Amino acid sequence: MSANTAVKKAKARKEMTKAQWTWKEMKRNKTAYLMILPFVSLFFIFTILPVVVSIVLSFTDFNMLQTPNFVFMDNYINLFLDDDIFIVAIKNTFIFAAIVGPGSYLLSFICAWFINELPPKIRAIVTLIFYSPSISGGAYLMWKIVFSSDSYGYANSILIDLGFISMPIQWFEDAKYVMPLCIVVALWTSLGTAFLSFIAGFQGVDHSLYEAGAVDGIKNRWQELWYITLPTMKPQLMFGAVMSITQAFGFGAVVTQLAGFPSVDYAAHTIMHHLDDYGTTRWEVGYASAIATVLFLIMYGANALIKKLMAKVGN
Amino acid sequence: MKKSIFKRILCGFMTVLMLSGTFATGVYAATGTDASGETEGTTSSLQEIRDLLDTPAYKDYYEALGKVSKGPKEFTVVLADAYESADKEAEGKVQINDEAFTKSEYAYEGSSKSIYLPDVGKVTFKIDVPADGLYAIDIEYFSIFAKATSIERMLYIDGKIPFSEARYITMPKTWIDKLEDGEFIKDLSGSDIRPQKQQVPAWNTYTFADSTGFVVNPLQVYLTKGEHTISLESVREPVVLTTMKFYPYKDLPTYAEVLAGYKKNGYKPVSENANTRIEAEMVDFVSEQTIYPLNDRTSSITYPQDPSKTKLNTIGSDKWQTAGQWIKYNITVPETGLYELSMRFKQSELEGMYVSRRIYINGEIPFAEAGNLEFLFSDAWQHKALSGEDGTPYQFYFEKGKTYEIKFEVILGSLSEVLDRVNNVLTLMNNSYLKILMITGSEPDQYRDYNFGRLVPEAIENLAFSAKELKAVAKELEEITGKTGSHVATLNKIIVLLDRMVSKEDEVAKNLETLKSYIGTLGTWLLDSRKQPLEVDYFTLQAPGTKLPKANSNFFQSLWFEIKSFILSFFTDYSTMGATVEVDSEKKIDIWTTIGREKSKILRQLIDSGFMREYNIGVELKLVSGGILQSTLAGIGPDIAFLPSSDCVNYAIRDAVLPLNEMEGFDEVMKRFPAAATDPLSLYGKTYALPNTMTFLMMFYRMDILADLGVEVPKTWDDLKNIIPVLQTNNMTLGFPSKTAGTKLFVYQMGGELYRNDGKEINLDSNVALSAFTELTDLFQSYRFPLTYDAANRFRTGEMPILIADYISLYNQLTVFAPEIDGLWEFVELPGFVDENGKINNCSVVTVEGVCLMKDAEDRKEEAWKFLEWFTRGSVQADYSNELVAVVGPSSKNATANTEALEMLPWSSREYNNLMKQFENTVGITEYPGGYIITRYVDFAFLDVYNDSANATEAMLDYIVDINKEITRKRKEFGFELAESAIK
Repeated sequence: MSANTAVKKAKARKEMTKAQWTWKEMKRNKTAYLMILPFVSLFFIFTILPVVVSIVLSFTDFNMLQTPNFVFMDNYINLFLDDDIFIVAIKNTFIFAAIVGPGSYLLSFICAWFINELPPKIRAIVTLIFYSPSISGGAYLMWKIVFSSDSYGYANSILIDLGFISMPIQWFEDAKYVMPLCIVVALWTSLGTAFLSFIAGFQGVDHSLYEAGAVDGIKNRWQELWYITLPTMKPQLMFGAVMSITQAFGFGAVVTQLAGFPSVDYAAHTIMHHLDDYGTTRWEVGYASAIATVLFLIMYGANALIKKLMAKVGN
Repeated sequence: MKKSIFKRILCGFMTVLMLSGTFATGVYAATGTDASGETEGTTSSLQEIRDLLDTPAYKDYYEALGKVSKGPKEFTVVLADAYESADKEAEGKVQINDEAFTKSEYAYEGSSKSIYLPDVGKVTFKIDVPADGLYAIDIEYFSIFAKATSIERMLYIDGKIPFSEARYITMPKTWIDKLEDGEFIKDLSGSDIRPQKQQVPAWNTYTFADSTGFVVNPLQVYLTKGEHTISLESVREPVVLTTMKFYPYKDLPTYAEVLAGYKKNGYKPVSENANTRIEAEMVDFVSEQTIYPLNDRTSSITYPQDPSKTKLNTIGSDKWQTAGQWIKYNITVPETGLYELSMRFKQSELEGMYVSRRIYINGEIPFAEAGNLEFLFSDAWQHKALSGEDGTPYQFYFEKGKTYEIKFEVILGSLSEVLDRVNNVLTLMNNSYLKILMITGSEPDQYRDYNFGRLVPEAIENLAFSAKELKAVAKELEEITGKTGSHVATLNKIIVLLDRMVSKEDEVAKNLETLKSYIGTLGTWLLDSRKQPLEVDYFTLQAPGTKLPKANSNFFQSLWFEIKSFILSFFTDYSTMGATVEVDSEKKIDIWTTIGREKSKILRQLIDSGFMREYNIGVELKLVSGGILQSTLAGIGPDIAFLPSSDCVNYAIRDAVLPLNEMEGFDEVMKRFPAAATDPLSLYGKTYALPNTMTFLMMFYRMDILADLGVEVPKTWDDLKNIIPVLQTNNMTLGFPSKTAGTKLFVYQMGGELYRNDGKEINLDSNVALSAFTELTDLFQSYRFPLTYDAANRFRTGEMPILIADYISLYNQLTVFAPEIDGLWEFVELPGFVDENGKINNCSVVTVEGVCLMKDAEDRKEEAWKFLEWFTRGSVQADYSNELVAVVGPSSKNATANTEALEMLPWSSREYNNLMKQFENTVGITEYPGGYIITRYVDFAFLDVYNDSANATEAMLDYIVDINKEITRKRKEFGFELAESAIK
């Protein structure tokens, strides 16, 4: 019986369309599909579907409570041609991403590299210490106390004590300081997943490769890093890069917590904030969806770029 | 090398600083010129405040008298006959009743003549004293059904307040629990529901005593022979009085004497059959509505107890801990004879200390020892007979057939005198701190020689004296409690600091910051030490020698109880939140609130006992943490929601909230609120919600500091400007609303408006608005008021003796957060601008929270409206607010928007008058579409000026176009009419 079917299938392959063939194959591997089903359904419902819905909504004037109307490209046209603040937001986002993305990436990498040199027991402790800012949810709020605008805030109080200033500086309420401070905080919190994956990557390098490298004429640690370590941990590097850049683009909540919403003179207003502004304050969900779509495309582009760059590692 | 560079930089900066300092003083001098004319108002004058602060304490009064004898015999004054005059406020409101006061079933049986004193004004009586001497005073009073607060009066003798304690005469009202058939009302699951407290008008005797409890014995006044006047000035609540009895205070007999009396009379102990048990939670009367039955689950033998249901089984704890609070039980006994009194109680809060109570039987303390009973600390429950130091239980004589009234009252006991001394020390330390602060500022330079010894010698002396006093107190405390607990450790910490500050002058500036925080610590310490919490399960009248039952359950009892509770917890529905009435009505309304568990429980109870019984409409009350918008979008949202005004209108223009104008009796309901409260909830003639709370800015000030500086309370902004230099030379500053809040305030006080043209355009580019904005930014720029500050903290330390802040949140915070400045501050109307007619415009801008009908209520509109109407009634709002204070504590005063309810809240009449003046003098700003953009851009404009010294007018004008653009955009979206300029 089974032999018979096998023969039939082999014959059928040529006669069948691609869809039919796929269906056949799926039926054959149904256990595998069944096992992946829970994840796929969750992923579909909570990730893919919202993205699709958001793209669809971006062509409407949905306002949260009433039935949406179709408005075609109006949202996009307004966004690019009539929204000054969006331009500010794009500028801020790119400055942010350009500094925080690579910055946090390098920082994570360097920290991971150094920590990797430590003895295992100390390494575990130091890893935890370095990783703690990103796991302890609201810990970045301490920066709010440090840079409180109150004359009793740490920074102000120390500066007043030392006589550098006589009046408290309105740190997070002064357009001059908001952006740099937020970047500092962002870098501080950024030692997250990327950092952990790098540590894992370093641990995963096969030590015999170093010995082989030494025989093949590797002269110093830099060469060792570039020709052996980095190529070996490419998957982790890739993962870290994607995480860093996505985080850098999506960085918004922390700024809102620190600098308020919106930040003074839109000094630290990123695309995420712009999205929030239209989505929650003005309830123009259609427009907000258009912003989200643009952000999505930017991130996608950035990730493609990273892939290109990553391919160069070790060459 | 490094150090010298640093020094050079520092020097450079200091030079700059000093230069800017001179410049700044120039500015101050320039602005402090024009003084405004006399204006009328209700705030205290400087003299009044000084008088208030300078009254001596009872102790000093008593000492100053020297050796005087007690009055030879008592005499009683019938107040209705002794009535002489009333002041302007009280005139015409005083009533004299010749007939028995029959307004209630609790009519007085004794004297038939009584006098009614209103809740305002001062009433004077003439008395004739037969002989010189010291007299204690008893007043017979009748508490009339009124606000949920004790009656308070100030006592004047010959037109003067004799000592500061006479300012706080507190006569408690009588409260009972509302029960059904002598039992607590149960909810659908069978759990007890905390009974509502009910005021009962009743006759009581008030003995003139210290309301803080620092003086345990009655206060005595010295009167010479001849005519005197006695005046009572109202602070809170009306009252009916009959007599005032003046009598020489006699020490009580000791227990030994009483016991000898028992023997002489041949009283016999009763038999064990006569043992009577009284459940403490079933009280007959209590003195305050905050004393309510509690549920104890810590012990399985607390009676009654249930593993799954809530049983109210004890009373007291932190609800019964303030000196003067009492609980009364009416008891009868089965046999005549001598009884012991034993109690099952828990005192697990004051470690290493004891709490004190005194017991009255039929209004009298039976013997001296019963006037000071001590309950020692233990983690577990205790069961003890009331007994003397040697452990022999006291015996009390009761007769069969008579009803006895047993009253347990909280007192400070032997701690009182010690705490009184600490209280004085606190005042001294506070004064010294302020004096030093005025020289150094809040950031003292530790390297400067301030020469405090010459400038403020008394401040330093006071600190030295404080250290000495605290040492003595710490020693005494150790003797009383026999331990060095954490209690004494706090004092020792403060002593060390004071010693250091006094020892060397350069330590003063260095430690000033610490002193400030320690003053707060000491204040809290004092407040905590005054607490005398005691939880009681039941007490027993029993035959002498009866063996006491175990106070705690044994291991197996506890284990079994826990197992039962654990298993039953799977079958109990905790989400019903105490609904008691099952309503079969189809139309059930859904209410969502975010107010928290305690508050929603109170609301639930009110709904059950009021709304559901009245209308027979089911109510589902759900506690949520947000998500109202999302669920409304999904069609599963609430029928009624509590929302801030901006949300109400924003939901409404998107058709998610129903307009209320067409509802039955709408116009009548709207009369309950001031116009300012409903304006933010209405748009173009339609009202979308009824106001629930309404808050606004008022001015808080520190009386002691203003009196010290010789500054009158400002009535106009010009007055205020004149004060600023005085404050700033003393290193103080002002708390002032900035950014949008400040701008709105000034715009409306100058007679401007935020919008023009029915909300089509912003009006901030008008001349009035621009000058208001310039005025505000000028204030902030030239006086460098801080933008960010912790208001309560800076007010407490005196850095900001004048603070303009939201009245309810700051008031609530200060009542619990700053006990050390209790009675030293008050809040009054805002200062204002003098308009062209010479009148002061000092309106305040309101923030409103509304209750609205969501679109899901469409098919049960009538029912939901009935709820809205019910909930915003004066009586319901008052009940709700009063319950809140009773259950959650004095820091949860509710800012009701209902004018009638506001009067019924427990504000003192002075507070109420000030509050009411501002309450009626408020404006509400309509929430036009796109309004959110204004806050944003006005904040930006303000910060541009504050941070970068931009020109105020230009900074504001820069944003006008953007604001108008946004408003137009939003109006277009919702199809509202556009401004003409926007159409082209």
